Amino acid sequence: MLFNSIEFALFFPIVFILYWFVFKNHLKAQNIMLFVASYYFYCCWDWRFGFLLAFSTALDFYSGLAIDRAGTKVRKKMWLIISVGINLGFLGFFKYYNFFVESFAQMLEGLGMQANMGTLNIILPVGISFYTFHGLSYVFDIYNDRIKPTTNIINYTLFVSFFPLLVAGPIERATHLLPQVEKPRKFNYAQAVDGMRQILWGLFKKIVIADSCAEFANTIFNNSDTFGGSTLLLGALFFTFQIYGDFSGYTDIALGIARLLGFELLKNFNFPYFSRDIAEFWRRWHISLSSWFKDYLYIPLGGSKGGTWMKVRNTFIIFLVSGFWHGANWTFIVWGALNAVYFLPLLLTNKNRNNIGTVAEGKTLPTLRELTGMVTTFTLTVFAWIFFRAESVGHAVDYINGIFTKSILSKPEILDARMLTTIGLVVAFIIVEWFGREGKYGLEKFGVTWKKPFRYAMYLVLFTLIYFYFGSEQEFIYFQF
Amino acid sequence: MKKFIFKTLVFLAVWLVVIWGALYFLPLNYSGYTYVVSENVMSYMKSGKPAKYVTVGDSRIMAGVQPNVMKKEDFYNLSLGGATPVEGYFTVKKLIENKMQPEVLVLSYAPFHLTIHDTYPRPVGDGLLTADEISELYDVVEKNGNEVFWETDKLSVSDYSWVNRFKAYSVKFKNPMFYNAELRNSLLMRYRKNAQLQKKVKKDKGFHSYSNHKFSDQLNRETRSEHFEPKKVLVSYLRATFELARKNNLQVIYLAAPFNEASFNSVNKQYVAEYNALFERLKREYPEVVFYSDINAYPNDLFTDASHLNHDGTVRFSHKIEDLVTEYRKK
Repeated sequence: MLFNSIEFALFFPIVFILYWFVFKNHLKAQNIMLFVASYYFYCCWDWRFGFLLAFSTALDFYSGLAIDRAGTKVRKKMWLIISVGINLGFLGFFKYYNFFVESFAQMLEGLGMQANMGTLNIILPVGISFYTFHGLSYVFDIYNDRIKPTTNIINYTLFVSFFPLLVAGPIERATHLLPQVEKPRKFNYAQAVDGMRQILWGLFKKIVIADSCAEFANTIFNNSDTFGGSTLLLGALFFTFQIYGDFSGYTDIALGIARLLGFELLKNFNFPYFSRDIAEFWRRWHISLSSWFKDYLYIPLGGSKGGTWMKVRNTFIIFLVSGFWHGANWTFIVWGALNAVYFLPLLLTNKNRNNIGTVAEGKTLPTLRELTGMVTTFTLTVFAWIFFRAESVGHAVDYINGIFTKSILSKPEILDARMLTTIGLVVAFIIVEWFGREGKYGLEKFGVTWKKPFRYAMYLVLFTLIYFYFGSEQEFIYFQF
Repeated sequence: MKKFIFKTLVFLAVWLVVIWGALYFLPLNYSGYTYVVSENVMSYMKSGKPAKYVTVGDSRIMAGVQPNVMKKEDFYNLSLGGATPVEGYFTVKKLIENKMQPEVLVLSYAPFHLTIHDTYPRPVGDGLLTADEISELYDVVEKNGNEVFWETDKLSVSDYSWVNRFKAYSVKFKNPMFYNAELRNSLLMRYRKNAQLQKKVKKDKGFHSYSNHKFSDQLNRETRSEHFEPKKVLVSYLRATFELARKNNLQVIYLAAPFNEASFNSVNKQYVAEYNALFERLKREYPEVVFYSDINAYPNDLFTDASHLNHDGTVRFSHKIEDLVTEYRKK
């Protein structure tokens, strides 16, 4: 069930009414209802994977209790290894088995050896990378004595399977979400209105921006050998806005829905395309994943406290793992490595925390220096996205070679009225995001001081645009991760 | 809470009223040419001036028969793009009900229009079918094992007849979910173009051409299939049309529109044999109907695309129909 579907438009109002009217003032009943609704939401993809989710949830819940009750450090570690091993085992099997088999077979063939290794027809359970990381963070936090385990399995199940974040994040922490699950929630008008605005903005990003850009990005990437440089560059730009609109749009919808139910989820995007350097970009893009890797991988590895070699090693590890987390393909690994290469000079010269605040804070326009930083970072990001989107590393290399030809100066081959309309919408979107960059999401502060008729006219326009583009919805890119 | 729900519902209600208002009251601002042609058919029914001869069929006839080039006879073209015998039956029924019955009805469908409905279910959206007729149609569909015949579109994609029936009513009553692409593509700016087309179609007595390319050797839809597999629902409506004509003493000439040579030479022999077998049966069942149903061809330079005749082709085909009718009258 997609957020941008008729099914969800029927599902959510039912959940909302049951939650706030039927089970009002009954925390336990509200949590049970949300847990049932979340499993229904998940099983709409494939009911069989509900069992996998339930098993993973039970494993982490009981591992957490066992770690807490273990008398010795050795027993604690044993339970941690069991939980991490089984979780990563499932993730590895469903997501990476075929990749490893194929890569190993290719390596053997490269060495002149015969390789008869069969791959399996494995369907990737939607959201497995997200709920596995939810569970792991819970177990790690208990192991590191950051939290006490919950003894209420319904609350824990809801923490892992809460439907707004179940299939594409944000990757929540038990320290943040579990207390909200355990406390009674009251309907807050301001929070609900803000949630609706965030949902509206998320739907606009997904349906109007991402799905429109996807149409052109897919055409250009799928036929890249037939297009000249300028069209290929346009294709890369379309994908850049597709992936941002798609993933941050999903996040905005998820956060907005959670707000309507009285929850506050972690912020996952913070206007990444206005970043002045790559370090800032990674503090603003998929924040919940970056911070997860930082807390549970980078810092345990020693972070940036060691010598130069250790910094280089840890940076590469975290970016390569991050790339690999996205999918079992060398393209994601190269994408991760490329970002590590972008990031390292900043880290080694201690300039990785130069740009902490919002760009041009309190001003309308950036300085020339800020603008240069933003354009450079954006260009590097677009270049890296080509690897992320391409079918293979060879395809990405050919694509990039295709861009840097004389034809980059010629008129794009497929520039028509529809494409120009999409470009116009993207430009309008960037302008709104720019003026809203100091808020939690683009629309949070945009137009709030306008007179009511103008503000509602803006909502009607946005809603109508969403309606216009509805119907050709594409699945969210991050569902496959 | 109440304030929040109230405001949300008011917002949605205002939006729906605006969209529904546009859909109901401004059809010429967003619809495609099919609405204009359907509307012309409906206004013909109410005109009170029946033509002696009427053609009913699909786009090959709509773009292939130009009543104004006929020299002797009084023709009117009531064909619709993408139409099947379903639309044909209801068109003929309306002619009879409105006392607009012609002397001779020339009926024609491309072979593939007996196997599938290739376009958006226009008759429903464009207002050709009434709510009762939709109900009647789905009763027939259910009797035929809920056979899906509008399968390339959003309407009939469910195995459950009630879902398909509900979708048809949704389109009929302008459910905004079925019209968003048309609104987006038109931005309500098609009025002028449609108003001009409306005048032209009326002047051309229902004829509407697609383009004026001088040649086409592209292959038509029939060449993509090995077998001719007619839908029970569509054939039953073809039979129902013949029955209706028989009951009302309406003479029918069933005619196959020409293929271009390229398609004629490429169409599968098995497909042709199966098509001919159906029409042999129909000839036996309806001896009063004059059949010219054999698949035939015109040169490629008389076509504007794979399926439709260009201006020269239209003139030739129109004269052929006129000759057939004249010959029939002499008999």
